[in-house]
Amino acid sequence: MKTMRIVQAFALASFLLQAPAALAQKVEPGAFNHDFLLTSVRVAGPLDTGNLDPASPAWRGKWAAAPVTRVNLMWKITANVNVEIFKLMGAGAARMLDVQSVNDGTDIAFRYSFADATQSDTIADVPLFHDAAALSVPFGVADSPFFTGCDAGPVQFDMIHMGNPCNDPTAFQCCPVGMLFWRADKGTPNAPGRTPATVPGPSESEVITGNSPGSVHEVAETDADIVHTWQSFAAKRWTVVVVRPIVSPPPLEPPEGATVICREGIVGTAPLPPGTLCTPVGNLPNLVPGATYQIVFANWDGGQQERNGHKFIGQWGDLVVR
Amino acid sequence: MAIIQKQVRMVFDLNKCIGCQTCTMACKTAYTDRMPGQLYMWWNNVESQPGRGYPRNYEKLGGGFDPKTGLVDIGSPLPSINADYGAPWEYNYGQVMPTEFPVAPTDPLLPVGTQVPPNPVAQLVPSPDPAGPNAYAMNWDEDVGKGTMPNAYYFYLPRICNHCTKPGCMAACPRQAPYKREEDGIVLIDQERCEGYRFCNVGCPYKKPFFNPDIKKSQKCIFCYPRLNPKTGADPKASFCFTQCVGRIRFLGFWKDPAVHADAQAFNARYNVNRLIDGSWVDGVNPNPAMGVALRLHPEWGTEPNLFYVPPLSPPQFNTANALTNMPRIPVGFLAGLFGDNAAQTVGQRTDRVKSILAILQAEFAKGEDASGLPVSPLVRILAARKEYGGPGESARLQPFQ
Repeated sequence: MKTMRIVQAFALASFLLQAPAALAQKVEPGAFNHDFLLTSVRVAGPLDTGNLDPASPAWRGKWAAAPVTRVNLMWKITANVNVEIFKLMGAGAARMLDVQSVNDGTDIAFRYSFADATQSDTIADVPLFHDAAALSVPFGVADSPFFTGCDAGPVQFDMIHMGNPCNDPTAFQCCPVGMLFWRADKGTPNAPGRTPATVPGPSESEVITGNSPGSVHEVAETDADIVHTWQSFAAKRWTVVVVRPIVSPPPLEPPEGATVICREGIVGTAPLPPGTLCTPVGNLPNLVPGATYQIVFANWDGGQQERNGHKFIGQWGDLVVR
Repeated sequence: MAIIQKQVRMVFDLNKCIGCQTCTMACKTAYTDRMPGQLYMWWNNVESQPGRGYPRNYEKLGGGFDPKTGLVDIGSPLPSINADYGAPWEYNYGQVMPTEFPVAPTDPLLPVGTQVPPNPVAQLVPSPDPAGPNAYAMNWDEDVGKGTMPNAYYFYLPRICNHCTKPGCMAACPRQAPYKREEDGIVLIDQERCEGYRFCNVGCPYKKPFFNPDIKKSQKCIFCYPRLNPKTGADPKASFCFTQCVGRIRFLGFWKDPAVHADAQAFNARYNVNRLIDGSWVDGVNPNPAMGVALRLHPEWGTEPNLFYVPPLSPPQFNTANALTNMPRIPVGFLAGLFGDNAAQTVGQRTDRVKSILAILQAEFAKGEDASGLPVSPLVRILAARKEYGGPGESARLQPFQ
């Protein structure tokens, strides 16, 4: 009897663990057959979000356990022109991100590193821009290698310009993506008058829902509460660590007229019609262990005047969360 | 989009602007003279036309809406603070104002014992160099104008945010940080939502949002909304740049869209701005578009600005025999290139409208004064008003709160 109860409890726990993944996006590894495979290695927790320095004792061993995946990035225009050209040129792409990921079942961490000739971490004039990088995971399944959600709404890669018709609520029809957008200028400031502008230390990432105005749902937490970021520039190379919860914080009750995104694929306006099956997503797609997700990276070199749609992007890859 | 209950509207009479920049300084001292990153900003500026404007050559940068696709143009380059807006000047006071000066050694032109600053470092030098490549300012082309004597011409063009009905900044921003207030249509930038992407700077063809590099957010004219809607219970007041205007050129009022509000016509008739724009000054009630005397700046950019201008009259030109002609010194074609009623007008229609307005102004001013000294023309009564507020029948210049 006791055994039975344990089995039942295990089955229930298993169901609870699996259910969110099923509602989100659970696909077996390899199903997407995408450009790269990034494995998030399960490590002993908890992850130290108070000090994300990869060289710190709490993190050194964890990153050593995670394989490095090289992600090729290409100039967006080139990449959009022809998928085949992108693939052919991928090996010789001008930029590469070296990416790792670990998780402890509660939080998931990404560490990416990339070369950059200039440390653009300050904005001294209107036309000057900062270095930046982003990772995106769709809330649903992207059915196009380059565009998020649906071919009729190719907006995700044009981040940050999601402009027309995305400011038209009636055009909010495609699967949005959850994006973590790191900016070098949000790093830890150096002492006044000293260069460079930032020193290795905590930074910030914006939580953005692509194909929408910023994040969609009103939540109790700020971006800084949800996502922890660290940055460092050394030897002409950026290293960025981003840690976010596996499961998105739940949204607050949406006010009337707010956009509601449901894990069931419904995108509507609050209040939804009575009886609508809707599990409101938060502002982040869940990344539940045991599932595979689509993921993509982008990079902006501020020193090259890159911003918004002017950027380097990769193709969709598979993120396997162990 | 939420329904705008009423839209703030402005008319600037360019015939009365003397380019004194009092409006500019009223705005500057109220809002942008202390926060880091704001010193280069002039939410209100007065530029000379013809001229390059502020920021430099803004009319050629882009933004606004494509008339064919209706999409906002985000291809505009971003102006630079030093080269295009004009950095605030600084001086080498530390070098020129030492506490002790050496005695001039042997200068025969100076009295014996005269103390002089060390030479050459003790010259007062502005930075950036006013003769250098980065020299520019809010009204760098002041009084330069065009034409040759005796037919040289220029006029002043005061500019603030147009608080457009269809703002380019709003359409361009992916974070929807710019928004229109429902109660009066004032366009503001939500400083919480703004992340400094600078799309508003790109999308606005008038370049009236300004990026603050110190706080990494864009900022702009707020139309002194705390004065319009004081929370203290005090009487509402018009914006600083309106109340401080020495030339009394600025008219403020509200407009309701007749397609949305049933009481629009009666409401609109209460405000002199609408009378000047829609021509209802003729009988005080009924719109008469052909008699409207205020036009939008570059309506072809498609943002439906809510700042209108009464185009400037100018003296007649001299011909080659030095005799006066009946041609205005400011070419009508130049004015038509700046001003129009709406985006759909052709160049020819705009030219006709400018000609018509100049003729109306001349004719109405020629009617002179009555026995009591008041202008005979109801149009001139409005344009010449000196009172800030006034009731029905009075020639009020500012009527924001009726």
